[in-house]
Amino acid sequence: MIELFSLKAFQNALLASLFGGCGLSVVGVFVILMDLPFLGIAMSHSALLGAVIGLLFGFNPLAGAIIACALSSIVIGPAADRSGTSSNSILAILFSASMGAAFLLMSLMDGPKSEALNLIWGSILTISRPEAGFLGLAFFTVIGLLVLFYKELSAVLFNREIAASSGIKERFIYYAIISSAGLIISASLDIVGGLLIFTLLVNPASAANQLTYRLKTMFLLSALFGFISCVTGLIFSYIFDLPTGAVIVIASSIIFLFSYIFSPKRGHEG
Amino acid sequence: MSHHILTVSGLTVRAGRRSLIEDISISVNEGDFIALMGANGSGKTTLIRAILGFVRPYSGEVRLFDSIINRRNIKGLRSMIGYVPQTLRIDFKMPFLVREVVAIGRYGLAGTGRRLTQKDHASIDSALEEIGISHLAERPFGHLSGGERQKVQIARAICQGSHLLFLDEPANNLDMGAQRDLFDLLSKVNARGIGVLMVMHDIHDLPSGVTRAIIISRGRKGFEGPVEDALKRGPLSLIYGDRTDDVISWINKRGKGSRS
Repeated sequence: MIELFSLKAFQNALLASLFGGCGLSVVGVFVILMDLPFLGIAMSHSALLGAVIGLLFGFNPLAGAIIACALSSIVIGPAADRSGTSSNSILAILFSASMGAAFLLMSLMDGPKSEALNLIWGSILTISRPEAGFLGLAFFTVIGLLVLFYKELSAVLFNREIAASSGIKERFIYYAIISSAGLIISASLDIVGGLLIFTLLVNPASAANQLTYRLKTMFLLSALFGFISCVTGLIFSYIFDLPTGAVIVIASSIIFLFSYIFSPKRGHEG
Repeated sequence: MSHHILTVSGLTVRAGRRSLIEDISISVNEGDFIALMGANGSGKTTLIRAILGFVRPYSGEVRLFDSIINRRNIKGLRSMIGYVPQTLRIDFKMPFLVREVVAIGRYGLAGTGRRLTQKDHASIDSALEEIGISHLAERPFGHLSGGERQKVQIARAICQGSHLLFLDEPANNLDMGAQRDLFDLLSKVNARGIGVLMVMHDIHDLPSGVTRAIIISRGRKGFEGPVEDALKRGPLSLIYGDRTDDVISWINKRGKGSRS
């Protein structure tokens, strides 16, 4: 175990868990409280499509993911802005279309597809220093925005119209949330992969929401749960040679289960 | 002459070719307590949302104090009106304490990226006190009763320092006691000189402090005047249509009942 931590690859993976796991879970608080689960799903699959296009046409998959996320947020932002079912169905169609396109393009690739498969299932152990570095940049951008605009963000999370009526630049804040989500999603595609990345957006924040009535605590708990899930995934996948993404998803689901069982909010509904 | 806070002239809002509100002019003065009434879908909510700039008008003008509202200045001017919207998605779990919800009223004033000052906290405290909910300050917002939630919204609107309150059917889903309580509170706030514009869809049980009634019918202003005059057949038919006779006999019966 000790020599494990001295491995360069493992150090990179640990950094990626910290930055990606915490970053996604922090953005997840917005996804949960604004009731936009499809936002994360749609964005992560557009990122996947962008990365696959990058692989197929020989440019950096990370750059592909970022560009695809930026382009898709032009559609996703206004679509999620509409309330109710219409927004969710637009996002659901976008998500399924980009997944279909990603798989179609993958079938066109020649030779071994391991790199493409990594994009789907994630491979935190093969993450490189520059990739971890970019993830760190994305993470600190998200945290910086959160600290700087905390009161505006919390007002928008409470109710967008009330936030606007008290004079907050509500649309600016809303699009800052969407862009941060896109940034952190595309940067952490390597951790759990495009198929499962939204579980890190949804599970830790939902678990945190079971346990506290304080928004600040919810952000902290969510980040902690995201980090624990990633490190668990990392260690188990290394020792037992299991797919990292799958273990991360299982770990975060178990955390949610326990949070739900021990939630002080349970049994008070209605 | 009392001071005009808000003047709306010839406001028209359209959705495609259909007109949601047409050529509405109203004014609110300091200390007014106006009940804005009308049937469901008559355009009451559209009118206040258009004043607040959430819906873009097709034509007309809204003047708030000395400024004519336009797309550029609306974000700053909006905070001069304390707004309590009709529907709030309330989740029992939501991670907001009462005090944090009231504090939102100060966020716009404090400025983007700045922390609340001592003065902000003082006005949050005094709003909580004025509305009589200081004891709820540390409670989760989702745990409150319907009436308590409305009070929190009013406290939030008040600590914004606005001279004008808009409330969209604040008594919806409240029991009689909570409704009375809320109306008494609004009358108290109004007595301090704050103009109140309250959307109602029923004419019975208007708060005693209401100084003027405005009735919107099919997007147009059908009546404006004292509450006593609004209780006559003509204005009532603008709200109740075919059922006006039933409503009048109900009002009369109730009047006798309460006197005996």
